Amino acid sequence: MSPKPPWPPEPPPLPEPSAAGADLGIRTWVETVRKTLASSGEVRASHSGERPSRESAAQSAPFQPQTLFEALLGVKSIEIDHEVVISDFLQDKHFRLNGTAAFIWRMVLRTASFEEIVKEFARTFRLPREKGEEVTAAFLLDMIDKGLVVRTTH
Amino acid sequence: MMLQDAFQSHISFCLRSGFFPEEDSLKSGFLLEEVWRNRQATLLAFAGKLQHDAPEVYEKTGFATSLSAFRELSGPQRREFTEYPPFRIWLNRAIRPQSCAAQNYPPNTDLASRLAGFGRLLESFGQCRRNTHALRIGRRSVEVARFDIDPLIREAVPPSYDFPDEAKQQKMSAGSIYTLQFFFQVVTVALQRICVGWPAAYRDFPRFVRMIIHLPDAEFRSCSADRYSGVILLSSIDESLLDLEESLIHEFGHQILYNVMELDPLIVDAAKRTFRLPWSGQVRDLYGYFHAFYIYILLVRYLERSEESRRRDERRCLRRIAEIMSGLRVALPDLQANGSFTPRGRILFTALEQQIHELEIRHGDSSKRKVKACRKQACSREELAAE
Repeated sequence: MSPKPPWPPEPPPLPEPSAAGADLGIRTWVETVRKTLASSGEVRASHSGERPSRESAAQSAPFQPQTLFEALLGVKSIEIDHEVVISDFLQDKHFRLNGTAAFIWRMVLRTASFEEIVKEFARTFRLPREKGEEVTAAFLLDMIDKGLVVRTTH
Repeated sequence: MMLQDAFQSHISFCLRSGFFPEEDSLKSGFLLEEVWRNRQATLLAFAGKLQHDAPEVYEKTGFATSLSAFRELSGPQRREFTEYPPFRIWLNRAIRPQSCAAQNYPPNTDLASRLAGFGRLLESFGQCRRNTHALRIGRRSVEVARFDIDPLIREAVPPSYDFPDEAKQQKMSAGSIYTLQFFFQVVTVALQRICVGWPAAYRDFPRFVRMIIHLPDAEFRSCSADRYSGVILLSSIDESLLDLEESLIHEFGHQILYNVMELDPLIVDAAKRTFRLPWSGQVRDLYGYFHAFYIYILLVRYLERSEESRRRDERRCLRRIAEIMSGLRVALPDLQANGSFTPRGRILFTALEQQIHELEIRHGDSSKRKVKACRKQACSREELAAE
């Protein structure tokens, strides 16, 4: 049986930076990167480091259906329960993904195309395709902006 | 692209009501769920980093084996372990920069011993769950101890309190009529009274307070700190059950904020300025002032429930409410004037401002009148008794 998408109760969104990634001492974050399916509310990128090989979010949208994604070198992930902890050893930053985000992440690890991710995501979470595309694109942009994912052609 | 970040919205939604105990436990449940998952993720991220930077240390210290044991625990057991106070202390110390700078891994024996200590914690956690000296509240328990505590807690508590050496401990135990068993019974009664006055606070208490350490010779009424969160220290200074209830609620409030602050610092540049607390006259930075502000609102909310549920304590509750309210009136403009809140800190502060307005309506002039009326009543009772 497919899992139901998690909906937040009803709070109006607030434009605020994520401070959850407090410095934990090893110049490391564990940031909650939770993505759900409701609209509105801005996801702020809190990535501050720059690496020349990485794309900026502004360059990367929109994605073509055949666009492929993969995790960058030095980025590893570990699964626990339904969540994923991603470690970027080059930036020394760590992120925590909830179940919904983890679903997309697993597809990224398989170097899936944008079309495949959207299709599978919408099917699993029983979403209209447009909504699935919106959520998937937003998540991937965020991951690209945080320097965890890169678009690839092969 | 616009998208809702559930975590941000949920936590902001919770903060908007001030994060006080409520009939449904959704908010505290959400907070604690986020906190434990963050701690677990921190542990795994730390382990991943260690394995990447220093694979030998990772393996040879036994950390890898212990981590596997941790991962094999069930979800509820892992959660309980991440809420186990010695683990929180261990985690905060393990990820300290001086312990973890990648270059220092191999020669850093301190880190090696700390890593080896993780296995010991897993074992002591198992023993702790079998501890009989624990208050049972629903399905949860709060450990009650005096000097028989985990070495990590013993190390983290000073300068709040310096534990005496073994000889002095024995002397104190032998010479004190205030036994741990007696303290256990008194705390049990105090918590039962909290249950009557504010069932939601009673229900949430063991979710935030995991251990009470009784220190008969301590010079404070109660104490806690975020470096050993989940643990509260109580002395023997409280003169009445109501005082003890106040101490328990006070420290419970600190624990709520420590957990909130694990997700968001609420305040930035807290040490920039100091303030004299209007309730005690003690000097605190903004962090301490904000904690006190939140806790005294929590206390008024508790005392007004006690006043309603126990006629015998009415006068004392009203007097205490009046004292606290006068302090809150001083604190409010001080905190309003500072711009050091994070966006979420600002949300919480706005919720607390609203709470004060509501308390003013309930306890503003009327609380002063009630106190006067109570005093009059007491005088006339005494006069009648004299006649």
